[in-house]
Amino acid sequence: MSYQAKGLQAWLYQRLTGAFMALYIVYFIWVISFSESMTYTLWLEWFSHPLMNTATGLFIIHLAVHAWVGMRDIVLDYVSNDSLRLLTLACISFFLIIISLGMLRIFFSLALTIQA
Amino acid sequence: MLFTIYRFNPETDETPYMQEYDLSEIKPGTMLRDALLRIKNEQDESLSFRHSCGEGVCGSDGMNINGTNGLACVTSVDGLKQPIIIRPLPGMPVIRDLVIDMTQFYTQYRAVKPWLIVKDPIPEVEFKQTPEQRDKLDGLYECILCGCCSTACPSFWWNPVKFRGPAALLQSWRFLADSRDQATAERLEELEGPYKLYRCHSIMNCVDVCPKNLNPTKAIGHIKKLMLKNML
Repeated sequence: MSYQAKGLQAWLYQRLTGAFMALYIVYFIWVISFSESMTYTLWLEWFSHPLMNTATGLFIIHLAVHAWVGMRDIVLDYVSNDSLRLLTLACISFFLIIISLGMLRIFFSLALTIQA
Repeated sequence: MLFTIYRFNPETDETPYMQEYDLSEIKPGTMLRDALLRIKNEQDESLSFRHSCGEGVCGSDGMNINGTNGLACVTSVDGLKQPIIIRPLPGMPVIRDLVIDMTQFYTQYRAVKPWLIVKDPIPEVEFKQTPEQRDKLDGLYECILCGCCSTACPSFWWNPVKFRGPAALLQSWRFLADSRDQATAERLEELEGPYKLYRCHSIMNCVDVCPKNLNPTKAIGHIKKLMLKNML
Protein backbone atom coordinates (compact mmCIF):
# COMPACT_ATOMS: atom_id res chain seq x y z
CA MET A 1 0.00 0.00 0.00
CA SER A 2 1.46 3.32 -0.99
CA TYR A 3 1.62 6.58 0.92
CA GLN A 4 -1.13 7.78 -1.39
CA ALA A 5 -3.35 4.77 -0.63
CA LYS A 6 -6.82 6.12 -1.03
CA GLY A 7 -8.70 7.03 2.10
CA LEU A 8 -11.53 4.55 1.65
CA GLN A 9 -9.18 1.66 0.80
CA ALA A 10 -6.96 2.25 3.82
CA TRP A 11 -9.98 2.61 6.09
CA LEU A 12 -11.50 -0.60 4.72
CA TYR A 13 -8.23 -2.58 4.97
CA GLN A 14 -7.85 -1.49 8.55
CA ARG A 15 -11.30 -2.78 9.45
CA LEU A 16 -11.09 -6.04 7.50
CA THR A 17 -7.65 -6.92 8.84
CA GLY A 18 -8.78 -5.94 12.33
CA ALA A 19 -11.80 -8.24 12.12
CA PHE A 20 -9.69 -11.14 10.85
CA MET A 21 -7.08 -10.68 13.56
CA ALA A 22 -9.75 -10.44 16.27
CA LEU A 23 -11.18 -13.80 15.17
CA TYR A 24 -7.72 -15.36 15.00
CA ILE A 25 -6.74 -14.09 18.46
CA VAL A 26 -9.99 -15.25 20.06
CA TYR A 27 -9.55 -18.72 18.50
CA PHE A 28 -5.86 -18.78 19.53
CA ILE A 29 -6.57 -17.88 23.16
CA TRP A 30 -9.50 -20.27 23.26
CA VAL A 31 -7.34 -23.21 22.12
CA ILE A 32 -4.48 -22.28 24.47
CA SER A 33 -6.70 -21.95 27.53
CA PHE A 34 -8.76 -25.09 26.93
CA SER A 35 -6.03 -27.51 25.92
CA GLU A 36 -5.05 -29.69 28.86
CA SER A 37 -1.35 -29.90 28.21
CA MET A 38 0.19 -28.05 25.31
CA THR A 39 3.38 -29.84 24.38
CA TYR A 40 5.80 -28.95 21.58
CA THR A 41 4.60 -31.91 19.51
CA LEU A 42 0.97 -30.93 19.93
CA TRP A 43 1.88 -27.35 19.09
CA LEU A 44 3.64 -28.46 15.88
CA GLU A 45 0.70 -30.65 14.98
CA TRP A 46 -1.72 -27.77 15.52
CA PHE A 47 0.28 -25.38 13.38
CA SER A 48 0.86 -27.93 10.64
CA HIS A 49 -2.86 -28.17 9.95
CA PRO A 50 -3.36 -26.50 6.54
CA LEU A 51 -6.09 -24.17 7.84
CA MET A 52 -4.09 -23.03 10.88
CA ASN A 53 -1.02 -22.75 8.69
CA THR A 54 -2.73 -20.50 6.17
CA ALA A 55 -4.49 -18.49 8.88
CA THR A 56 -1.22 -17.77 10.68
CA GLY A 57 0.52 -16.75 7.45
CA LEU A 58 -2.41 -14.43 6.72
CA PHE A 59 -2.33 -13.13 10.27
CA ILE A 60 1.26 -11.96 9.85
CA ILE A 61 0.42 -10.15 6.62
CA HIS A 62 -2.77 -8.68 8.09
CA LEU A 63 -0.82 -7.46 11.09
CA ALA A 64 1.62 -5.60 8.85
CA VAL A 65 -1.18 -3.98 6.80
CA HIS A 66 -3.14 -3.05 9.90
CA ALA A 67 -0.09 -1.57 11.58
CA TRP A 68 0.79 0.34 8.42
CA VAL A 69 -2.61 2.05 8.20
CA GLY A 70 -2.60 2.84 11.92
CA MET A 71 0.93 4.19 11.95
CA ARG A 72 0.29 6.17 8.77
CA ASP A 73 -2.74 7.76 10.45
CA ILE A 74 -0.66 8.77 13.45
CA VAL A 75 2.11 10.19 11.26
CA LEU A 76 -0.33 12.12 9.04
CA ASP A 77 -1.82 13.65 12.19
CA TYR A 78 1.25 14.48 14.21
CA VAL A 79 4.17 14.93 11.83
CA SER A 80 3.50 18.13 9.92
CA ASN A 81 6.88 18.69 8.29
CA ASP A 82 6.73 17.11 4.80
CA SER A 83 10.24 15.70 4.55
CA LEU A 84 10.19 14.44 8.13
CA ARG A 85 6.83 12.84 7.41
CA LEU A 86 8.18 11.05 4.35
CA LEU A 87 11.22 9.88 6.31
CA THR A 88 9.07 8.59 9.19
CA LEU A 89 6.74 6.76 6.81
CA ALA A 90 9.71 5.22 4.97
CA CYS A 91 11.23 4.04 8.28
CA ILE A 92 7.91 2.56 9.41
CA SER A 93 7.31 0.69 6.16
CA PHE A 94 10.91 -0.59 6.15
CA PHE A 95 10.51 -1.77 9.75
CA LEU A 96 7.14 -3.43 9.04
CA ILE A 97 8.41 -5.21 5.91
CA ILE A 98 11.50 -6.51 7.71
CA ILE A 99 9.52 -7.62 10.76
CA SER A 100 6.84 -9.42 8.76
CA LEU A 101 9.36 -11.07 6.41
CA GLY A 102 11.25 -12.24 9.50
CA MET A 103 8.06 -13.60 11.05
CA LEU A 104 7.11 -15.37 7.82
CA ARG A 105 10.60 -16.84 7.56
CA ILE A 106 10.42 -18.25 11.10
CA PHE A 107 6.93 -19.50 10.44
CA PHE A 108 7.82 -21.28 7.19
CA SER A 109 10.97 -22.79 8.63
CA LEU A 110 8.66 -24.19 11.30
CA ALA A 111 6.40 -25.57 8.57
CA LEU A 112 9.44 -27.18 6.94
CA THR A 113 10.44 -28.75 10.29
CA ILE A 114 7.02 -30.33 10.48
CA GLN A 115 7.23 -31.77 6.98
CA ALA A 116 10.76 -33.11 7.56
CA MET B 1 -18.39 36.28 40.18
CA LEU B 2 -14.84 35.89 38.87
CA PHE B 3 -13.88 35.79 35.21
CA THR B 4 -10.47 35.14 33.64
CA ILE B 5 -10.52 36.24 30.04
CA TYR B 6 -7.97 35.82 27.25
CA ARG B 7 -6.80 39.22 25.99
CA PHE B 8 -4.75 40.05 22.94
CA ASN B 9 -4.57 43.23 20.93
CA PRO B 10 -2.06 42.81 18.08
CA GLU B 11 -1.51 46.57 17.95
CA THR B 12 -0.31 46.91 21.54
CA ASP B 13 0.44 43.44 22.95
CA GLU B 14 3.37 41.26 22.08
CA THR B 15 1.87 38.16 23.63
CA PRO B 16 -1.62 37.21 24.78
CA TYR B 17 -2.37 37.37 28.51
CA MET B 18 -5.22 36.45 30.85
CA GLN B 19 -7.10 39.27 32.55
CA GLU B 20 -9.30 38.94 35.62
CA TYR B 21 -12.65 40.61 36.14
CA ASP B 22 -14.96 40.56 39.12
CA LEU B 23 -18.65 41.05 38.44
CA SER B 24 -21.15 41.47 41.28
CA GLU B 25 -24.94 41.26 41.49
CA ILE B 26 -25.41 38.62 38.84
CA LYS B 27 -28.99 37.42 38.69
CA PRO B 28 -29.54 33.65 38.57
CA GLY B 29 -30.00 32.39 35.03
CA THR B 30 -27.81 35.09 33.49
CA MET B 31 -26.28 33.95 30.25
CA LEU B 32 -22.54 34.27 29.77
CA ARG B 33 -23.00 36.65 26.84
CA ASP B 34 -24.92 39.08 29.07
CA ALA B 35 -22.21 38.84 31.73
CA LEU B 36 -19.55 39.62 29.11
CA LEU B 37 -21.60 42.57 27.86
CA ARG B 38 -21.80 43.88 31.42
CA ILE B 39 -18.02 43.60 31.78
CA LYS B 40 -17.64 45.48 28.50
CA ASN B 41 -20.13 48.19 29.45
CA GLU B 42 -19.19 48.62 33.10
CA GLN B 43 -15.52 47.74 33.41
CA ASP B 44 -13.51 47.47 30.22
CA GLU B 45 -14.83 48.67 26.90
CA SER B 46 -11.75 47.37 25.07
CA LEU B 47 -12.88 43.74 25.58
CA SER B 48 -13.77 42.37 22.14
CA PHE B 49 -16.01 39.45 21.22
CA ARG B 50 -18.53 38.65 18.52
CA HIS B 51 -22.22 38.33 19.31
CA SER B 52 -25.50 39.07 17.62
CA CYS B 53 -28.85 37.35 18.14
CA GLY B 54 -28.34 36.34 21.77
CA GLU B 55 -30.41 33.17 21.50
CA GLY B 56 -28.26 30.50 19.87
CA VAL B 57 -29.43 31.09 16.32
CA CYS B 58 -26.71 33.15 14.63
CA GLY B 59 -23.69 31.26 15.94
CA SER B 60 -21.53 34.36 16.42
CA ASP B 61 -20.41 33.97 20.01
CA GLY B 62 -18.68 30.60 19.96
CA MET B 63 -15.89 30.59 22.55
CA ASN B 64 -13.98 28.28 24.83
CA ILE B 65 -15.67 28.33 28.24
CA ASN B 66 -13.82 26.57 31.08
CA GLY B 67 -12.09 24.41 28.47
CA THR B 68 -15.19 23.46 26.48
CA ASN B 69 -16.37 25.16 23.31
CA GLY B 70 -19.86 26.59 23.41
CA LEU B 71 -22.09 29.54 22.64
CA ALA B 72 -21.93 32.25 25.32
CA CYS B 73 -25.54 33.27 24.70
CA VAL B 74 -27.02 29.89 25.60
CA THR B 75 -24.60 29.04 28.42
CA SER B 76 -25.87 30.01 31.86
CA VAL B 77 -23.20 31.26 34.27
CA ASP B 78 -24.92 29.46 37.16
CA GLY B 79 -23.43 26.04 36.64
CA LEU B 80 -19.94 27.21 35.68
CA LYS B 81 -16.96 26.66 37.95
CA GLN B 82 -15.28 29.90 39.08
CA PRO B 83 -13.21 31.67 37.98
CA ILE B 84 -14.88 31.25 34.60
CA ILE B 85 -12.00 30.94 32.16
CA ILE B 86 -12.85 32.23 28.71
CA ARG B 87 -10.61 31.80 25.68
CA PRO B 88 -11.16 32.14 21.94
CA LEU B 89 -12.08 28.97 20.01
CA PRO B 90 -8.86 26.92 19.91
CA GLY B 91 -6.61 26.33 16.93
CA MET B 92 -7.62 29.41 14.93
CA PRO B 93 -5.71 32.67 14.39
CA VAL B 94 -6.78 35.33 16.89
CA ILE B 95 -7.72 38.73 15.50
CA ARG B 96 -8.30 40.31 18.87
CA ASP B 97 -9.32 39.00 22.31
CA LEU B 98 -12.08 36.43 21.69
CA VAL B 99 -12.47 37.27 18.00
CA ILE B 100 -10.93 34.63 15.73
CA ASP B 101 -10.25 34.49 12.01
CA MET B 102 -12.76 31.97 10.61
CA THR B 103 -11.38 32.01 7.04
CA GLN B 104 -10.07 28.44 7.16
CA PHE B 105 -13.38 27.20 8.53
CA TYR B 106 -15.35 28.87 5.73
CA THR B 107 -12.89 27.68 3.08
CA GLN B 108 -13.54 24.08 4.14
CA TYR B 109 -17.28 24.73 4.25
CA ARG B 110 -17.25 26.17 0.72
CA ALA B 111 -15.20 23.21 -0.53
CA VAL B 112 -18.03 20.71 0.10
CA LYS B 113 -20.33 22.76 -2.17
CA PRO B 114 -23.09 23.28 0.38
CA TRP B 115 -25.87 23.82 -2.11
CA LEU B 116 -28.18 21.64 -4.20
CA ILE B 117 -26.67 20.46 -7.46
CA VAL B 118 -29.37 19.49 -9.92
CA LYS B 119 -28.64 18.28 -13.45
CA ASP B 120 -32.19 17.68 -14.71
CA PRO B 121 -34.17 20.70 -15.85
CA ILE B 122 -35.33 22.54 -12.74
CA PRO B 123 -39.08 21.98 -12.10
CA GLU B 124 -41.33 24.90 -12.86
CA VAL B 125 -43.06 24.99 -9.51
CA GLU B 126 -41.11 23.30 -6.76
CA PHE B 127 -38.98 20.30 -5.88
CA LYS B 128 -41.09 17.61 -4.28
CA GLN B 129 -40.05 15.33 -1.45
CA THR B 130 -41.91 12.68 0.49
CA PRO B 131 -42.08 13.24 4.25
CA GLU B 132 -39.61 10.33 4.65
CA GLN B 133 -37.11 11.95 2.30
CA ARG B 134 -37.47 15.21 4.18
CA ASP B 135 -36.94 13.45 7.52
CA LYS B 136 -33.45 12.46 6.43
CA LEU B 137 -32.38 16.09 6.64
CA ASP B 138 -33.32 16.44 10.29
CA GLY B 139 -30.27 16.78 12.49
CA LEU B 140 -28.29 18.10 9.51
CA TYR B 141 -29.84 21.32 8.28
CA GLU B 142 -29.93 22.90 11.77
CA CYS B 143 -26.18 23.67 11.78
CA ILE B 144 -25.53 27.38 12.43
CA LEU B 145 -21.81 27.30 11.52
CA CYS B 146 -20.65 28.58 14.89
CA GLY B 147 -17.41 26.63 14.52
CA CYS B 148 -17.53 25.03 17.99
CA CYS B 149 -17.20 21.51 16.57
CA SER B 150 -14.38 21.98 14.06
CA THR B 151 -12.28 23.98 16.52
CA ALA B 152 -12.74 21.24 19.14
CA CYS B 153 -11.55 18.54 16.73
CA PRO B 154 -7.91 17.41 17.16
CA SER B 155 -7.84 16.21 13.55
CA PHE B 156 -8.83 19.71 12.44
CA TRP B 157 -6.12 21.23 14.67
CA TRP B 158 -3.45 19.03 13.06
CA ASN B 159 -4.63 19.35 9.44
CA PRO B 160 -6.83 22.46 9.12
CA VAL B 161 -5.90 22.94 5.48
CA LYS B 162 -6.45 19.37 4.30
CA PHE B 163 -9.12 17.96 6.61
CA ARG B 164 -12.62 19.32 5.96
CA GLY B 165 -13.60 19.26 9.63
CA PRO B 166 -16.85 18.11 11.26
CA ALA B 167 -18.95 21.16 10.36
CA ALA B 168 -18.18 20.96 6.63
CA LEU B 169 -18.59 17.17 6.58
CA LEU B 170 -21.97 17.42 8.32
CA GLN B 171 -23.04 19.74 5.52
CA SER B 172 -21.55 17.42 2.94
CA TRP B 173 -23.79 14.63 4.24
CA ARG B 174 -26.74 17.03 4.41
CA PHE B 175 -26.55 17.32 0.61
CA LEU B 176 -25.59 13.70 -0.01
CA ALA B 177 -28.69 12.67 1.96
CA ASP B 178 -30.93 15.08 0.07
CA SER B 179 -33.22 13.28 -2.38
CA ARG B 180 -33.13 16.32 -4.70
CA ASP B 181 -29.35 16.46 -5.05
CA GLN B 182 -27.87 14.79 -8.12
CA ALA B 183 -24.15 15.10 -7.53
CA THR B 184 -23.56 12.15 -5.19
CA ALA B 185 -20.73 10.65 -7.24
CA GLU B 186 -18.90 13.98 -7.62
CA ARG B 187 -19.29 14.80 -3.95
CA LEU B 188 -17.90 11.41 -2.89
CA GLU B 189 -15.08 11.64 -5.43
CA GLU B 190 -14.12 15.04 -4.02
CA LEU B 191 -13.82 13.59 -0.51
CA GLU B 192 -11.50 10.73 -1.52
CA GLY B 193 -7.94 10.54 -0.32
CA PRO B 194 -6.44 10.16 3.13
CA TYR B 195 -7.13 13.71 4.33
CA LYS B 196 -10.44 15.37 3.50
CA LEU B 197 -12.72 12.82 5.15
CA TYR B 198 -10.55 10.10 6.60
CA ARG B 199 -8.68 12.24 9.13
CA CYS B 200 -11.79 11.74 11.26
CA HIS B 201 -11.02 9.09 13.87
CA SER B 202 -14.42 9.32 15.61
CA ILE B 203 -12.99 11.28 18.54
CA MET B 204 -16.47 12.79 18.94
CA ASN B 205 -15.45 16.10 20.50
CA CYS B 206 -17.72 17.63 17.85
CA VAL B 207 -20.75 15.77 19.21
CA ASP B 208 -19.81 16.72 22.74
CA VAL B 209 -19.67 20.47 22.13
CA CYS B 210 -22.35 21.09 19.46
CA PRO B 211 -24.74 23.70 20.93
CA LYS B 212 -27.49 22.46 18.61
CA ASN B 213 -26.99 18.82 19.70
CA LEU B 214 -26.10 17.66 16.20
CA ASN B 215 -23.95 14.62 15.47
CA PRO B 216 -21.22 15.21 12.85
CA THR B 217 -19.50 11.89 13.72
CA LYS B 218 -22.63 10.00 12.74
CA ALA B 219 -22.89 12.00 9.49
CA ILE B 220 -19.25 11.19 8.69
CA GLY B 221 -20.02 7.50 9.35
CA HIS B 222 -22.88 7.74 6.84
CA ILE B 223 -20.55 9.24 4.23
CA LYS B 224 -18.04 6.42 4.75
CA LYS B 225 -20.82 3.82 4.44
CA LEU B 226 -22.12 5.43 1.26
CA MET B 227 -18.59 5.47 -0.21
CA LEU B 228 -18.23 1.78 0.59
CA LYS B 229 -21.62 1.01 -0.94
CA ASN B 230 -20.71 2.89 -4.12
CA MET B 231 -17.39 1.05 -4.35
CA LEU B 232 -19.07 -2.35 -4.09
